[in-house]
Amino acid sequence: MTRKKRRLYILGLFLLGLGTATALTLTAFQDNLVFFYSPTDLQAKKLPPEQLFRLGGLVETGSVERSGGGEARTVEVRFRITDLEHSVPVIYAGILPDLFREGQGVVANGRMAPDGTFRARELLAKHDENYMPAEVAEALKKSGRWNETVGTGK
Amino acid sequence: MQRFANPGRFLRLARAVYPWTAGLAVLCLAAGLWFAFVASPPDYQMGETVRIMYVHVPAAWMALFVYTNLAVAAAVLLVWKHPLAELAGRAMAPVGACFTALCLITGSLWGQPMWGTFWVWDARLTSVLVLFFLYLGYIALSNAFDDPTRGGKAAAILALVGVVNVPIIKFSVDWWNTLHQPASLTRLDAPAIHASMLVPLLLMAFGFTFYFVAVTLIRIRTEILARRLRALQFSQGASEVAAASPRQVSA
Amino acid sequence: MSGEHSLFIWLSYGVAAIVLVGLWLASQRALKGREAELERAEAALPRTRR
Repeated sequence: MTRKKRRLYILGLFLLGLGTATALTLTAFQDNLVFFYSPTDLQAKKLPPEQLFRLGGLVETGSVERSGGGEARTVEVRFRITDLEHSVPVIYAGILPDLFREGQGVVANGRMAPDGTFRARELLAKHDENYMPAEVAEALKKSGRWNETVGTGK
Repeated sequence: MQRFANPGRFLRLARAVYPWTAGLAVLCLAAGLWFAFVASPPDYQMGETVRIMYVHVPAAWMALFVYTNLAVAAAVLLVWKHPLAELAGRAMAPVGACFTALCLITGSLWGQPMWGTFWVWDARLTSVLVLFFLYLGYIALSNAFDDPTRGGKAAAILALVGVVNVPIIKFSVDWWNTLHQPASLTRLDAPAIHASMLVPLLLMAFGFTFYFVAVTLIRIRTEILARRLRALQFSQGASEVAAASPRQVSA
Repeated sequence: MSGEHSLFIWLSYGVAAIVLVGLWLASQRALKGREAELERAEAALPRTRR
């Protein structure tokens, strides 16, 4: 009986120690665990100009310009990535992912050019956690309850 | 608890429960598939591709659920030394590994058309890959010793060390910026999945859970028989030695 | 169900079916194998015991 109890206490202490150690390690490496920076992070961080990094946020509504025109998917695209506080202009040439649209999340990998635009080499779409049929989405938008249900879509 | 710790009693119980769990698994999965393919609408953003969610998300839940069970079995083995806990751990690990592999495979098949990539090293995807390796490590370690009880003990310690990964997987999408979207079902306000899509998701999840119980029961029975066989061969070997040199043994 | 991504959907469900059915069958076969083995071992037992 006492032996079992002792083993139980040892196990509890072991898990507690393990949890604390992991929490400390993860906090220490917080910066490396970040998959992308937001435009606000970018303002605060001052990354070296030639560094390759990922920039994530929403495609600013009304900012998408396709040069070359039409619906072709491998044209040069200019748009702005925003986190609703700051926004960064982006240039990307290549295949656009399916979910690329205004107001949706994207993560772009690339470098800052000297003129302050972000040159993306790779563009990934970020999906939000909302799943619904198209009719429901339409109805929500019509009734004006879109934002309270879906939020900013971040 | 003590009552089921007796392997003989457990065998009888497992044999009685198995047909029910297997039947429920088939039933739930059949209904889930019908809802997933026929009776659920395409998503407003992803279109038909949303149907991958009905395998991917339940597989991910099972990967974590089975690992939690594995860790509980490991704790029971190390603290109370129940022999059945070791056999249960051995039986569960490959099932969990299969669900984790399914989660990773269907995830990348979903990521390619939707995100534009099969794989990224973000916190969620990486921590699930670590979970897969934990399962593989558990299986390898539990078979690494000639004496299976020693292997079971070593694997149990690994399972308990790996348990820190479970909350990391769950909360990775909230703690860090990831490409993977946050949880839809455990949002505090309301689930962000429309009811018509929730039905197939939950049916598949129940189906997977019953499947896990059914297959684990079969595998635990196999482990008990294997242990019995080993004991039999051991005592047979011992009695043959005893027959060859009776004086040495009686002395 | 058509559309440009149906390949990914079918592949997902196909892989899931293969893995889950395969694991079930393999587990069942292992159980049958062990049962037969144990039966043989127990049949051989009385000779050495008595």
